[in-house]
Amino acid sequence: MDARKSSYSSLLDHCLKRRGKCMVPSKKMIGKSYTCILAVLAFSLSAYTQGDDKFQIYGFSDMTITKYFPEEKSIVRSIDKMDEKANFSLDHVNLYTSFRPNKHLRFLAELSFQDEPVYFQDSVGQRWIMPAMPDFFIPESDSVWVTPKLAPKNKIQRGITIFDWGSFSVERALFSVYLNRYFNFSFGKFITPAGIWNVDHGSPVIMTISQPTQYSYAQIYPKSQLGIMEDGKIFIGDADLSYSLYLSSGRDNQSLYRVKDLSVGGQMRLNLPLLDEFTIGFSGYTGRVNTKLRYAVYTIKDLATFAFESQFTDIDTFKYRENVVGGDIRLNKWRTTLQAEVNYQHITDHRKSSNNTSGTLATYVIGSVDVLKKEALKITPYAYYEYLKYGDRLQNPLNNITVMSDGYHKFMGGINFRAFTNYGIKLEYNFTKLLMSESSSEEEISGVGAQFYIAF
Amino acid sequence: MKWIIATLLTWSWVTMALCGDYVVIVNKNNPLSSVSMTDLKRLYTGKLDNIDNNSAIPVNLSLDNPAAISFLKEVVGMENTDYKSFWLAQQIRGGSSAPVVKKSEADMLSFIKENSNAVGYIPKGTAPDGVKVIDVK
Repeated sequence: MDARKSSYSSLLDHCLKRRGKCMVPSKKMIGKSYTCILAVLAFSLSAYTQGDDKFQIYGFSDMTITKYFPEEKSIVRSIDKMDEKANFSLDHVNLYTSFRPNKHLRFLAELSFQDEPVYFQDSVGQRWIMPAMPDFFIPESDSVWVTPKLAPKNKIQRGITIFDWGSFSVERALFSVYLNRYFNFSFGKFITPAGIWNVDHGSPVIMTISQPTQYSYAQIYPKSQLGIMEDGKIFIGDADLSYSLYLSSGRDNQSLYRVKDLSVGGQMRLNLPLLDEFTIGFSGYTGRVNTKLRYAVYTIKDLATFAFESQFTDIDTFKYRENVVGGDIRLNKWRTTLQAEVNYQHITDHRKSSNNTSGTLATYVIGSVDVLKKEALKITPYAYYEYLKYGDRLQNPLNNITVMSDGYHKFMGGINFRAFTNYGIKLEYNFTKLLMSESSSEEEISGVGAQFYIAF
Repeated sequence: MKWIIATLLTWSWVTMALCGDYVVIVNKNNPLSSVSMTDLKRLYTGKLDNIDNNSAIPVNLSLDNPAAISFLKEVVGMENTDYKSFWLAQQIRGGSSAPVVKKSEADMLSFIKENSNAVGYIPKGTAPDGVKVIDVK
């Protein structure tokens, strides 16, 4: 075990020294990330204090306290910290740095520290930690030494442990070239333009304490991607049509190395001159996910000299194509807002010869009313309902520990108190009914939460 | 007769230019003579950066100024608190930045005089010295 840790540390050192971008949430890496962020902050602040408004620094932060009440035999008690008395967490500190040297160029970076389980935040294919060096030895009759190891081309040797709390991440970092309102080209890492609350991800603009579970946990769309994007606007009379199209590495957002697996997607939003706000949107995405385990098989030829031959074998851990489509609507009138999204993900598993398919349907609707709207204080009660259903869980290639049920109904009610636009407190009650398979009984979990948020 | 027509035209121009509690102003060298309400709304919500192919830089008065409150309500269709929230959301979304804010009418006039592309507004009673009032259609 010690030898494994030592080897793993060596790998981390190698990653840090050679590649300089290995995202490992170890204390060492977090220390380096702090240094990087402080360096960026110091550089940006120095520019800002020189009075150059081409630089902008801003961000948001939130802190949350939650208490859940799972049933005595609930399987959700297996989730880290779910059955403790209460959890206090610094969920986000997001720092934006924007540099716009002129009207046509812009660099935008968003760095995020999240004190949430990385497990909840990372997308499929990045959840697993596998030791990079031999971790078990089978002195069988043929003296075969089998070493599970992630294939390097997966670019996911980041050593993310499943329940590691707290991580730094680059939410986005992109260069944009603005030609005119029809053509704005960006390249880099961007947040997937899908639905409403995938891009609007900050606590100051989300009514509830957290994003819809279909975005944060199920990640029905990739949260962010690496690639190129084109977006623009078209005016049709008094209506505004905005659109974005992208070509990306999909869920494997660490690299564009595997060009054959490029993903494509886009979004279109139509803002009509009706009510105080009337916006409808459509989103689509198609991509492939293919992650592998590489096994190294060492055959010892001579025990005396310990001479051996090695052979590598790749096994697909995930290999599927997904097509996701969705629609959303947002209406506002008389201080009342109604917002809803529906998304459907269709998956074809290519690991099996039969190419099994499955689907996931996710939707939510939220209504809110500004019962008090003053400069100093805005009080907005809200009610929220979300539904997610895995069509055929057994055929879903993502059917691992992340999928404990066939889906869920989630109800939330709360009040959002906002002071001077930038500060706020949310108080929320939530109730979730897990849809269990036929052999299990349904489970219900309730909880309460409070969140303080600030935009700066 | 000519006098009556001239009076009516002047009155209609003044009525259109002085709608609400504000007048929309530009630099006196700016070729703009009028702007549509829709374009003005798009300009102040970051969707548009030019008017009739003339580059345009929107400028706000301090958002608690009565002229700003009136302008945002009539043109943008938002209360000033909603307008602040709108731009906060834009920033978190990664969009463009909110228009420049000038604390007083004097600052606004000074900025407009110095920037040929600037578009702003001032209270109806303020003497628009050195700037041009444009028609809002």
